[in-house]
Amino acid sequence: MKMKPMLKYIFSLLSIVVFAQNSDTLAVKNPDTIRSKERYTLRFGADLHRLSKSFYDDDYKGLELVGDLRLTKKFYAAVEVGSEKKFKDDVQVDYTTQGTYLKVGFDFNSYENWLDMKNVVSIGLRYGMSRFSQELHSYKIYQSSNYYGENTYTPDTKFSGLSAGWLEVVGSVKAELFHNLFLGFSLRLNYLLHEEKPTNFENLYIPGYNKTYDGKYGAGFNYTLTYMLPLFRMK
Amino acid sequence: MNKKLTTILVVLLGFTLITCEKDDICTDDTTPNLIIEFYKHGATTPTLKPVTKLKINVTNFSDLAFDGVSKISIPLKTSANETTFNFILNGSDTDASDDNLDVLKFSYTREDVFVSGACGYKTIYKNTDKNLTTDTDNWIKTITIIQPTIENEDETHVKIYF
Repeated sequence: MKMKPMLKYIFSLLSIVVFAQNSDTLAVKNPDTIRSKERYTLRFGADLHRLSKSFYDDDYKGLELVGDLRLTKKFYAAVEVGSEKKFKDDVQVDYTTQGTYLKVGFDFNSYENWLDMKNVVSIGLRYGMSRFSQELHSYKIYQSSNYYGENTYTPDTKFSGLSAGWLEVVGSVKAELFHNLFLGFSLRLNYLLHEEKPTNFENLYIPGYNKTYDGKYGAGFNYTLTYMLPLFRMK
Repeated sequence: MNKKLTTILVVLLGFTLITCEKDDICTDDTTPNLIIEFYKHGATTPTLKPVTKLKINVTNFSDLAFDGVSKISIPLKTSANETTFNFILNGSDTDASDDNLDVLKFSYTREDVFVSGACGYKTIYKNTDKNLTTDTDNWIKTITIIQPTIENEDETHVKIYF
């Protein structure tokens, strides 16, 4: 159960290191970069991870659309908007979380492209917000002695109108696959700023934020396929 | 610059793994047991008195045995508003001739309180009351509920004098 996400992260790490090292060598090989055709761009696409998970994981439905707008040579305004529905059959509680989220912020591209390449290795910041509901299907009472055995209760309580807001530090890479078509990966460290909790329950999962458990830190990632639309030239 | 970024990403990843790891193990305080202290009956100053070969059970459940201790903790039912215990003094050995059974019932109201994802819920008990079934030879002389709200195991809830 726990291994699957771990493997994903390890794979993610490898891909970052490979991408990042590539960019290092490229930058060294071509110190004299020529920038003549810089353009404002609008990029949009979808998260492949959430999309594919919706097909292979019966307990999950989700979609995330992503977009960014190049503001200056290095700065991009970035946005992610999504919807998630997740059923979790945990040891002590079974619940479904359903809701939508919006993340807005910026990316700073630290990658020195050579010639007319358009790759991105960026660090960024987002403010994320989510509106969602939690449905507590069943729970068990934890009694350390377990003298009487376990009883499962099925209240099926629905908590609506919940919300949360958080900050995300985003590290991401985007590489151009074909002309203006990009494959990207981003890793996100989340810090929960505020949340509206259900009475006598907790937001164990927040759409867009991921699972919460103890503390205010969370993490997430996405794999994006995006198309970049060139706009007018930069001055 | 890119080396710096790689470092940042690796650090981020480190955080991610740490955050991922602390999952399914319940380490919080959960449903409290009932804490009982045994005292010497008729003493002028409160004096703790250890029990001898005390067997405690709930009908249809397993036996708990206590010997030479004056403080015990026993679980209350989380699925009913009362728990009836058989307190059998000298009952945990094979010699049945000196056994003395007292039936002691605790009644309470329950509240299920959310603890955490790993622990789920715990039950806390309120308005705890006791009822000792009178028989010809009660070994328990007096019972006092000193803490009717049972929400942790830090304090003694019941004192039994014998």
